[in-house]
Amino acid sequence: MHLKYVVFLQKLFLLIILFTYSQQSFADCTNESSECSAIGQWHLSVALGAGVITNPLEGGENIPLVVVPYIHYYGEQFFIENNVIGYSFYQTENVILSAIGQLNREKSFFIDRKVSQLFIPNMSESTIARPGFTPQDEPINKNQINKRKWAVDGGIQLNWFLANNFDIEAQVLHDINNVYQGLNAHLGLHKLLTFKRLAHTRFKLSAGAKWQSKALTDYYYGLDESDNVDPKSFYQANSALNPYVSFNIQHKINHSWQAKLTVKKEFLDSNLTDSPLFDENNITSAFIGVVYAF
Amino acid sequence: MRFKFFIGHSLLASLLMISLTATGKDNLVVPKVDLSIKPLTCIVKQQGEQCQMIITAKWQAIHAIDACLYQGEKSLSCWQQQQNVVQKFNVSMHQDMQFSLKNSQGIVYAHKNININSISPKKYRRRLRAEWSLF
Repeated sequence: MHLKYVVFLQKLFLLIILFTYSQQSFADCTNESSECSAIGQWHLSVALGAGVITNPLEGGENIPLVVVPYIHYYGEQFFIENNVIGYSFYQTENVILSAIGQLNREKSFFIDRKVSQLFIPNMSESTIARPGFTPQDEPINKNQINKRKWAVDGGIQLNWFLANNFDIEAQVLHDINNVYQGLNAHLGLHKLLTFKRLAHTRFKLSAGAKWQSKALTDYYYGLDESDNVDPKSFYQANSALNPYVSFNIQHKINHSWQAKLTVKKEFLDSNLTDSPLFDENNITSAFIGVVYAF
Repeated sequence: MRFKFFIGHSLLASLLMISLTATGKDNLVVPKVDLSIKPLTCIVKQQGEQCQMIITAKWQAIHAIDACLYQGEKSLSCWQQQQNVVQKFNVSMHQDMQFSLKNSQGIVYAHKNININSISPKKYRRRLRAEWSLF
């Protein structure tokens, strides 16, 4: 294992200690909130404001966020969260296991930006240079290469709700439509902060990492004969781990309106950023605006 | 000059009038009225459902008064120079509602709340993805 991964895991462990060190207990679900949903009710909301998701690929356009629709529904076991559909087959007070299906995000970086990028799946990707196989320094524009397909991932999700408004989310997914024929996984740690003086304001801190198998990264970010590029630019990708941190504030204005600020930074694996397809070594997401719940 | 004098006196007179009116209103004595409404709870199957029921409103004043019964902002019935009234109403509501007895100036003599309860109370569960997970 790389030394940087060890350092990252150490930092992750420190974060867990930091997050769990608190006196508050996790509130039970007794009313509607950003953490709880009424069973059997559809919820539709729209965010209006200014925001962006940066595109790390060479020639990739950033994704503007101006009007962002959001839908969620929770049954006793079934649920939908925008681009995620799931069925919770094991539920205890603190642990929930679900089978989920969701759209894989990777393809979204390759398409021409029109109006289509409102529902972006969760993020992660990576490539690694094969030892002794250094790609050409010239960057490769994503629009020059062979088209990549959308993948639909299916797998298992674990939600573990700990004390002190702290929870862990983990997923292990496989593409069910055989696009890249590999795996990806995610581990996220979330900490909700509330203050008595700011009764209508909630703060959420998150940190985690996303892992992708060699099959996934090679399908999306590898370069070979089919891509019609100079053989010197051929690139074979390997598995990758991308850590991220995010910060979210939401303030309830009234029953229908709330103000929202979200910032997320995902740090791409250095092996990934060596790829001729990549131009940036991170993905930044930011949004500030208001949300109207119908 | 004469015009300014006229304006000045008119303003003074208007202020005096407003002051007197306000004083007169403050001194109004709201007669004591006993209001009872039955039932005070409406049961529905699921929370959020429309509740429909017949209520009996009964009110009694010390002396005859003019009064109207309101469901929220909606007037249900008005009476003139009545002291004892018993009347049934068919009401429908989808949330807890205040019923109030007011005079023609909108002064509330008395009020009661009717609450909606559901047989199966609304249940909640934890959300399994961070809200707005597109970020």
